[in-house]
Amino acid sequence: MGNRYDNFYGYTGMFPVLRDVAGEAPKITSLRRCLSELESGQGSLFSRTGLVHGARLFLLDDVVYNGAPSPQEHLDYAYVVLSITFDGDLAELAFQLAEHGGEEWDAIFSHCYGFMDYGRDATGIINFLSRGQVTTSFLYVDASADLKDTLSALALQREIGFLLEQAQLLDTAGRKKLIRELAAKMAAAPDLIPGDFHHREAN
Amino acid sequence: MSNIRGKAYAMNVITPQRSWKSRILRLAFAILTLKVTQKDLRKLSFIHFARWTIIPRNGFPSFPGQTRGESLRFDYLLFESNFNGSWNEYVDAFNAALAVKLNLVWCWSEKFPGSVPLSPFKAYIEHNQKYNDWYYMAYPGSTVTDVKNAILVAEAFPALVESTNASEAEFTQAWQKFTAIAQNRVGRSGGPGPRMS
Repeated sequence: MGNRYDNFYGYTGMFPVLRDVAGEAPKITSLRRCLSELESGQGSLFSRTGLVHGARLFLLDDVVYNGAPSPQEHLDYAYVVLSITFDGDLAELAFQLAEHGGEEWDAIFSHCYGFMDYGRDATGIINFLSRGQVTTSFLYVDASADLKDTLSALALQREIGFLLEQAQLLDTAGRKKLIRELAAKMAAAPDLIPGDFHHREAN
Repeated sequence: MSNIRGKAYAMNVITPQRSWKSRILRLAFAILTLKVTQKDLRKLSFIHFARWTIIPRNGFPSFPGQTRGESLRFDYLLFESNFNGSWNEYVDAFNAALAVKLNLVWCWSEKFPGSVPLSPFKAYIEHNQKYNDWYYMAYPGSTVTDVKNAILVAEAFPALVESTNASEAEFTQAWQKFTAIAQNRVGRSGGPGPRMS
């Protein structure tokens, strides 16, 4: 299994942060500021790929010491840890990141060793991701549908709630009409953009 | 807080373990990958996704420009989870339902106190937790149960649409079947949820 669970892929990567340069702000500080300013909703970095169910970034500046008699140790480098759960495989994700990653992708990983040596096309991105990858030992996903189908199902779920309310007082013909109208509405609806809340709206 | 996005919480825990213990843990994970061993995890129904990654002590990624690689005594076990509810609710539920499996995974980590009793276990997790600097969820307003319910309703809907072309009796039967599936699965979802910590 490793990185895969059915049609889902669990990617974990660790990217060493550049050493500080005299006269410049510490890299970790600059990186934390960059991440704090990063959008995380609809239309954000991973939202734009259309593949990612969840993603996170955290800075591992050192390992934790749990006390004696274990010896204490420290990391020589700080790392940006990137964890993503998405549909498909790394090549598909790399393609989407090449298309949609943009300035945010550069802003984050320009703080890391080696980033500038890799191209910004899909090949460069997959090579960068692969170099930093640590293989998942056990992945668990409690889902059965890809992202597009999941969002469509959630949108339909909200509409069915309205339909059931309205259909209570209708006869058979009225119910059939409502169902057909809803089916047409869902068929014509544009693809949902992931990453934001969807509030139930009254008709 | 960057650990929370709507109704989802993202947790990271990283613990040291000796290399020879990692070999045993890999065998344990090979067993846990069998879906038949995951029924209790699935019953909890509040974990979107979770993973464990063993990072070997000589396996920290390195890139051109670095003058040296890491020189470590320990491997590191990285645990990442996306779940619904607060940190306390999650650790409580995980501990109550999966104490044996938690021990099976974490007993190899240095100074792990065991999953029972709860307080030392919580203290250990909190001590080894790393907070996120950024977190994204594609459907932050929906819980695992919301998603599962939505999928079931979406799978049943085409048959209902099809039945609108059928006889009145057939439609009535399809309508009753659909409402039986849908009526407890279309509750309010999509909002940011209660304030969590």
